[in-house]
Amino acid sequence: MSEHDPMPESDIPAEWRQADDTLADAAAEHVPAGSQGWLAQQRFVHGLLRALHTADASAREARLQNLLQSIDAERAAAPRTGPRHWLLVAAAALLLATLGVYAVLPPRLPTAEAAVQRVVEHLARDVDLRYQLLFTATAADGEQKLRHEFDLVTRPGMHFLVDGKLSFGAMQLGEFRIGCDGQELWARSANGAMRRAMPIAEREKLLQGLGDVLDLGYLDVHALVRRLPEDFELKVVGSEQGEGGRRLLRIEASRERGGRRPVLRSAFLLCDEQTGMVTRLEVQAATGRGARREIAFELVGEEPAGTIDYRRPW
Amino acid sequence: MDSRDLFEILVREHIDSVRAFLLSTLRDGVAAEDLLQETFLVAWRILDRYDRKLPFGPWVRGIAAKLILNHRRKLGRSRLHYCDDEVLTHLDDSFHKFSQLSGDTFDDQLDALRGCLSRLTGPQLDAIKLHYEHGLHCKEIAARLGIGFEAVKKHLQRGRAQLHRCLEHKIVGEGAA
Repeated sequence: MSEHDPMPESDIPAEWRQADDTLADAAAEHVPAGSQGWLAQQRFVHGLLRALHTADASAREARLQNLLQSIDAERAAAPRTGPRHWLLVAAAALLLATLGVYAVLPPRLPTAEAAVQRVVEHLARDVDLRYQLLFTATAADGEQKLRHEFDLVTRPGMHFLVDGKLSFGAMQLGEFRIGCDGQELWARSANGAMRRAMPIAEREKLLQGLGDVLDLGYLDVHALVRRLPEDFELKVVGSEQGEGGRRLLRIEASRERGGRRPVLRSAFLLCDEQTGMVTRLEVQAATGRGARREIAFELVGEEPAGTIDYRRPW
Repeated sequence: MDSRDLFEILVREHIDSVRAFLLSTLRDGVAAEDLLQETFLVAWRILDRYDRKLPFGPWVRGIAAKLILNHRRKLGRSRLHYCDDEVLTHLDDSFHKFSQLSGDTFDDQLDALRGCLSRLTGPQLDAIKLHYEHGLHCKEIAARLGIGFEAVKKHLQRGRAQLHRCLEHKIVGEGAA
């Protein structure tokens, strides 16, 4: 259940097996580098099996009573004064636990994975988020071939509207709006002279027609971020102070082997540590022969509910 | 209902999973019981630091992990398994995912493990049963099964790996459903 790729049992190195001290008389003094994930898997099942075979209702109740007596003794010895925030805290914790609300953050963390999970949760909300989107394409020699700025509004489930000006060298395509309502993909020029629509499954045709500038997969920001823990090594690389003194985490996602999207190389997220709100996201994709594309998303804000229509306007 | 009653509900809900977390790290059952008590006592004392937006389970496991690391020297090698931050983080992650299995209690969630055990066969099942159910050591299992000590170790390790894979499939399956 770790994030690591499972290694076939036959490939587990002998020294890792030796380092598994669940069967030894004393703790290993050190373990080989890289073995911790496998050791933790062994330990996890070891702990579950021990718990399973030592489950005893009366022992459990005695354990609980011991603990509660200790708590009562502490309360009696040192009654607290002043505001008791913990009453609300405990009530909220109970409510959260009962509802099964998901989030992870033990005090020794945050891990990048936990932060990204919160980002995914935040983005999964049924709201419309507006981003400024900067798209650049750079050749292998470093020369910038394309630079486009778009306005993007998106919500989970492949809903988006993109507005911007397209140009390819000397060829000007003018202002465009591209939209998708989760089922149908459509594009329309600002003057209405050009308009096309097609089922989302045929999106490649429309992309080619527009010069393959945008991979629309990137525009579903929620789906994009949700994939990161599966395909990328995540790392918190820093933090900074955001609006209102909130702590923003800088998370780097670099490619692990065996990912599902061979072209997407790395991503960079700036997100609120507590809420998971993404304020900036950058993705970098390799397009072969050393060329690369970069898309930077800058959060503008949340749109008022019910004001965005993703359906084709004709 | 006062805070102590609410805390009792939280303890009743999480004590078994925290105990399993400690049993995965501590060789000595008595030491695990001691740290379990200490973990929840610390949780009670610092409850005002708990971020109510986050679930209680990972928070209290985080306290347990800190206590294990703080007490490493005092506990001694004979009572502890090897542990460091990385191992504990992996373990915490696994317990978190396990907590997402359906079931109202930790014991309900252990049904997934029971199901996986019922699929285990051959010497791996024998080794797992003799070790965990009957409490036999590797040497005793080796004598019972008529195989070498190292072979018992491998059967146990492979059995656990198979159980781990089975649990992962169940978690992924439930997530997809």
